[in-house]
Amino acid sequence: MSQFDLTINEKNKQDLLVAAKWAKVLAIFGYVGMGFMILAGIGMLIGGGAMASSAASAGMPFGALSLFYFLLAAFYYLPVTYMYRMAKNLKDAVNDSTQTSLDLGISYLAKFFKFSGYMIVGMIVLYVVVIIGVLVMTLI
Amino acid sequence: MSVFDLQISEETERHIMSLIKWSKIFSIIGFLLMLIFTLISVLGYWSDMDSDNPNDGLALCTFLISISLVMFLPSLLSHRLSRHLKAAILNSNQFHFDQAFRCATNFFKVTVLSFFIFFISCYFIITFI
Repeated sequence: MSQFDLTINEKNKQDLLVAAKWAKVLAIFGYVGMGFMILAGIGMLIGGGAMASSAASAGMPFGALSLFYFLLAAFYYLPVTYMYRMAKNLKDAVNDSTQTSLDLGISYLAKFFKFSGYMIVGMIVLYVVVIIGVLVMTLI
Repeated sequence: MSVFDLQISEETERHIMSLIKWSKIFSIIGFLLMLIFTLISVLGYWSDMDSDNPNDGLALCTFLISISLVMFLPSLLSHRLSRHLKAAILNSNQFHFDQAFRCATNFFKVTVLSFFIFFISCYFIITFI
């Protein structure tokens, strides 16, 4: 018996549709979150410029903070887009029985896990660097 | 052409093999991150016990523990997805294939709900601690 005997049955079809629905919800949340990050970055730039002369904001790295928010939004773009495309393709695969859409949907799901994995590893490395940096600064 | 005409072709199998690998890596990294967050929160709280304001440590501890809890179910479901898909492809087992699709569905469902729980817990931490 080969793997080609595996089929997308009625139960799988229902599961795929539900997965596509929730993935789309998550992707929309992601896009909204990205929008908020970009707004926060713009707010930091404008606010930083307006408060540059005041003593209360002296030393606040507004430029760096806004850059951080823009970078965060850029990082989120790819996984969120993969998730959205996965949802769209899986829905098309089930509704129109398109084999290409099924292949694309599964490939985008794999890409989503791949990119998220890289992102979390990056986060762990960043945390370790920050912790080491804080420890070094404390000792100096 | 009905939905039953969708097959696991060689192309699909190639993508599924990639999915098996990356969902497993994702779950391992998720469990590792959970462990790191839990350790940091416990150590942070412990070191703040004798300070003048131990509530600062409690807020950070609750925040990190809530991140760990939020990450647990998606990591577990991602691990199960990988395990079931591998068993389905290697043994041509339709039961494992069905279970894998169920896990993929639950993964997205639980991730959305986890985000809600995370935002609500953040709100409570900011408001009350």
